[in-house]
Amino acid sequence: MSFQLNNGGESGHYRSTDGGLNWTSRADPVEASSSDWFLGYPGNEADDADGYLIYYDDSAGALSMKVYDDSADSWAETSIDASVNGHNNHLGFHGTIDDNGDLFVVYWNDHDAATADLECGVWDSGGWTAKTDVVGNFDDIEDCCVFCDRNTGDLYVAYNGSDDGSESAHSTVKCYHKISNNGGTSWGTQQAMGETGDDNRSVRCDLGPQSGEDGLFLPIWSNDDLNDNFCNAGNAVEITGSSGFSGDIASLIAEVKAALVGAQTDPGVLTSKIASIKSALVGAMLPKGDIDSTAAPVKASLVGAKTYAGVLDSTAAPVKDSLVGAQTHPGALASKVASIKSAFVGAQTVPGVLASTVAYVKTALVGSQAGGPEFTGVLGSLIAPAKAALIGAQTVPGVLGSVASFESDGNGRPVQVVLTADAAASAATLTIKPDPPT
Amino acid sequence: MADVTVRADGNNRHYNYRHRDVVQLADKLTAYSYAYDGTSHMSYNKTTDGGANWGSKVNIQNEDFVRRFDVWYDKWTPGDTGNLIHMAILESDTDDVWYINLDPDDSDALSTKKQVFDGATVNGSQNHPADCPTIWKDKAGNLHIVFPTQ
Repeated sequence: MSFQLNNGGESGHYRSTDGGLNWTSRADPVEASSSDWFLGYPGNEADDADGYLIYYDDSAGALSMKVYDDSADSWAETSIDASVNGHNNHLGFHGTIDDNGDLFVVYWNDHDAATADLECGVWDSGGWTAKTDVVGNFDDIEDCCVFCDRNTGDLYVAYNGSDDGSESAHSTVKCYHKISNNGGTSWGTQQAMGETGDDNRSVRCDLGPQSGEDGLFLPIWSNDDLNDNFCNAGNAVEITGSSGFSGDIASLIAEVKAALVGAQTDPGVLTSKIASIKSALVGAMLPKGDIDSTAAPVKASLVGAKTYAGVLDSTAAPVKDSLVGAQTHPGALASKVASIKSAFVGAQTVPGVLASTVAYVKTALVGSQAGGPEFTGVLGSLIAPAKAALIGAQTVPGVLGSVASFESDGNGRPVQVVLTADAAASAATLTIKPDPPT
Repeated sequence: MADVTVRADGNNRHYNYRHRDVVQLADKLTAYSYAYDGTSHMSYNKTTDGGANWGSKVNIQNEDFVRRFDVWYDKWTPGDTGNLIHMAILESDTDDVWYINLDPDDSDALSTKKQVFDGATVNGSQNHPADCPTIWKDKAGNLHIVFPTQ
């Protein structure tokens, strides 16, 4: 049945597969005799056509997640909170989607009550996981909304009414916000978004930018008696994204290889630096902070590679493109590309210049690992082709022949690399073992 | 800085309405704030300077009695590269549910309005907003609208 009667009204679920030109009825998730309200979102299930519906059952006073199975044309419901006292003048909940496709939900479990909590949780394909309350046991509140910076995963929640109890609902509340940079596990200190306390009511915001794109956290709230909407541009939070990953690794590796070959004009230089470059890459896979310890070998590698003025300048462009392309953790490398490029260009002038530019490189590398664990995983998967590219870049015969074996752990981190040299090399094999991650 | 008035025509609150109504574009400067204006029109105000200043309201539809709506922006759907703002609209004069979209890349041009549901008893009350539709775009590119009435 595509629609049903609710207190004399009608409800339904319709789907368009042609961009809104035509619509056909699908299974209706709305409950009979309801005064319910809800918000729909794309699902994060195996079937991309599935969907989620954050559903407030007004008669039951309960919040749930309804999951739409497109292929079966059916809905399944899971309780989020069986004790929610919604208010028919407020949405009372809101959701946004992170870069993994998971749906973060914030909601008030009561309104204008001393024990009211602004709760948070996440729905992924495995179900509901409650997170830490944004605000707990707070009386004078009005509505909420949540925004996700998909570049970093940071969550921004806006609401009306200070969490210190100094304002009164329907009278003197301002708009505030809190930020979580760990997926709702903890929340930062409340920060003011609005400047004027009044009978402000609902608050709405964008859901957040795509990864790799810029955004602006700019909540808009309503003033009840004025019937006007307000924002505060001065307190809005700018989000800086990046170009994100585009293209396949193989083509990027070729560009990196070409750039390195061009830079290697003094035979033997690049070869002798392979170990320290490898160490730097391994170091970059570790949690934030370890880049500092790898800065020295990176510096040494760059100094050693600086053998001919004019080479690095011509290779700066493909190196830049490669770095941007390899930037798989959004929000990090793109903003650093300019300084990296400057560092490379600066590196091919006179010896004394390179030392002064190492700080920029170090800063850029540290910034690129701001994503912590996510970036670690990415580098792990990239280390093998990067290694291969570096070896391939060794254009002087007689040092590195081929890769005899390459072992990695379950996370893609290299455990051991054995290189077989050709006849001109001083040793038959070269075994490289990175220090284990700490 | 002081709070900025997004719209001040005296009847444009989104209080009482359970929908999404703020869309921010990736340039960090352009945003749309949608609202029911109290005179049976769905409309929006637009900023192109990050919210410091807002333009006059622009009606989505002049001839219809919009009671409830919801919006969905293409880029809210993970992986979607589109740039359309989709709207589900519930009208009280025809008791119908409609779909329309706005294209920021084409001078905010509106698509042709399409009827989603030919209703008979859609009678959204201004003071009891439990009949807001909702719209979203799934990761396969399909649009969905769910609507209740009371």
